[in-house]
Amino acid sequence: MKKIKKIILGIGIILALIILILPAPEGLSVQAKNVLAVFILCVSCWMTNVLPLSVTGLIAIVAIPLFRISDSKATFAYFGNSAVFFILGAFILATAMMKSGLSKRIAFLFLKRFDRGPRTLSFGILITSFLLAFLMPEHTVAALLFPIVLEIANSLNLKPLQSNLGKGLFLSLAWGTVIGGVATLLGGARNPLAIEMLYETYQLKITFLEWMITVVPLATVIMVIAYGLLQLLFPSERTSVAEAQQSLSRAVQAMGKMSRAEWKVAIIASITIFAWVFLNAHIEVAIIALLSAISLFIFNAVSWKDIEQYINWGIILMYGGAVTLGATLADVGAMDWVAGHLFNQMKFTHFTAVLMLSCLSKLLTEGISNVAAVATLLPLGFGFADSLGINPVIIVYVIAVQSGLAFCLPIGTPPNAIAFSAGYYRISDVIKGGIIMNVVALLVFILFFKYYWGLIGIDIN
Amino acid sequence: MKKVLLAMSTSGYSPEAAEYAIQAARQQKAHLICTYIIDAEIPDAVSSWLIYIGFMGDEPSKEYRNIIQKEYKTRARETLAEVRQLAGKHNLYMESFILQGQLVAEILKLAKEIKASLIVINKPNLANFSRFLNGTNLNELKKKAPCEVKIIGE
Repeated sequence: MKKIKKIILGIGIILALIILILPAPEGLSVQAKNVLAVFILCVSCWMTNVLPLSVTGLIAIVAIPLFRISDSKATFAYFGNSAVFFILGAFILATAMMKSGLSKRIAFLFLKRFDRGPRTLSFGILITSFLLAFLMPEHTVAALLFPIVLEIANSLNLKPLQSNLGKGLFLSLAWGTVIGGVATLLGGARNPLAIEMLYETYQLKITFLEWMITVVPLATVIMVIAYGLLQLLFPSERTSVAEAQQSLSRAVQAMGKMSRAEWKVAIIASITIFAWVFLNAHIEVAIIALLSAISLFIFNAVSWKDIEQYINWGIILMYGGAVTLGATLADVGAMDWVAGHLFNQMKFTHFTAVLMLSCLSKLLTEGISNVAAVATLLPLGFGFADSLGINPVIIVYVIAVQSGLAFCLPIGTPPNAIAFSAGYYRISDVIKGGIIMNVVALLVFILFFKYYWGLIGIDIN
Repeated sequence: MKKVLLAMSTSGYSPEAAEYAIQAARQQKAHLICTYIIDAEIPDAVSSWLIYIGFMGDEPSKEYRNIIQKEYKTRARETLAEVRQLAGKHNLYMESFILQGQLVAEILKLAKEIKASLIVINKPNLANFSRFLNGTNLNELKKKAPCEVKIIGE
């Protein structure tokens, strides 16, 4: 384990123990004090990855009844929250899309339309990964497109670390999936997690369509800027991509006609997406996701063995633990107390508060998993919202969206790591562009927050 | 007879390092031994992220590893062929190995086995990333190597 990780973990454990041992200060209940200790312990584990994220989720579930913060019945009840089942249903749908070959077909057919030149090819990879991440988890999209982009780079004989086009293609893959991942509830599991934490804390809902109306325009603007920046930083050394054209044509031909399994998955996925977008006001997204998953089995489009091979079930523990911890922190008023003591001394306006939370989310997500960043920052953000009178819905968008937009380090998100592992660009290449993209994403976000969200009815207060 | 070990890996190769090793082998009248190490650290780390952070199952993670390892092997063969051609221009015979594992550990193992008199390595382009993940770096190689280590680009 790296030294810095040992230090963070050590500080976390010591701090948690001190808080547990010391008497509760005035204005803070014993339960609130103890849940803060559990929160600090979990955050230090999430930051250091000393345990798998899901096992840390279990710590939260065990520690809350153990330290008599809440009874076990109430604790386990949070565990069965709808975000977990939504994510499960969405992952099962993504598995069916991958296993049937439908997602690959969509990717090839999309890319085939952009094979006229190096610039259009780069844009094609960016927009294909961006749009696929609307439908599937961003990690899955990156893993799916990775061999295709590698094949394109090989067909063009692009030299790793030397070819600007190679750098541009792999960064298009990484950035496209990262940006697309924030646009819907399907791209990143952190989005439904944040929505569930909002519901458990305030009984406020954000529907699938509301999320898209709020975030898709913002993500689209960032994606277009990313394309411009990649062209600027890595202008292609080639003028033709004829070999890639041939390679894509061969791949499309090799796929042949759509199979029965692909048709089944395509029809179920289309109905599911329609229901998520237009019927969410009447039916919960989790119910729709589970109905979709059940339909896939009924129509024999996917087998349980496939699901076991394609999904890490630890996800249930991670999300269950995060929601349980967040909701308990709110129930016992722990974060209100922290926010009151931390932030009352500082004179924050609503704007500076949003800016600060955005920067904090961005910084944290470059170093730790973005799901862990949301689980860590959202309870704090809610406390902040209460003490300053900010609409908590705004806090959800600030933290979930900014935590998803990690452009710099390969450690930030799996799509960045997957693209980087191809070896076509250096860390210095991605840091240069990534810092600019982080600033751009922050500025675009602030512009949308100030001028667009009010228009669609999101009130800051 | 002395042996010059040119170590290359998925983390980096430069013609300068090859040129340096060839010249050193000629000057020392030594054998040139080339190794290309397929660095397992990066695919290992990425596939474990896919499982523990991306919550993807074994299958996509295995598929990713197979693809990246196939790619790395192709690159290894191409790079060794490039160096062999370069050595051939200087009428120098070259032995080559493709190894798989952790960069520094594999170099040390081979250097001891062949009793290398000099190790030539290019400063890895992915060194920072590798170090970030596993705490390994070329200082360890310098410290533990049984002979002189020349790092090109340092």
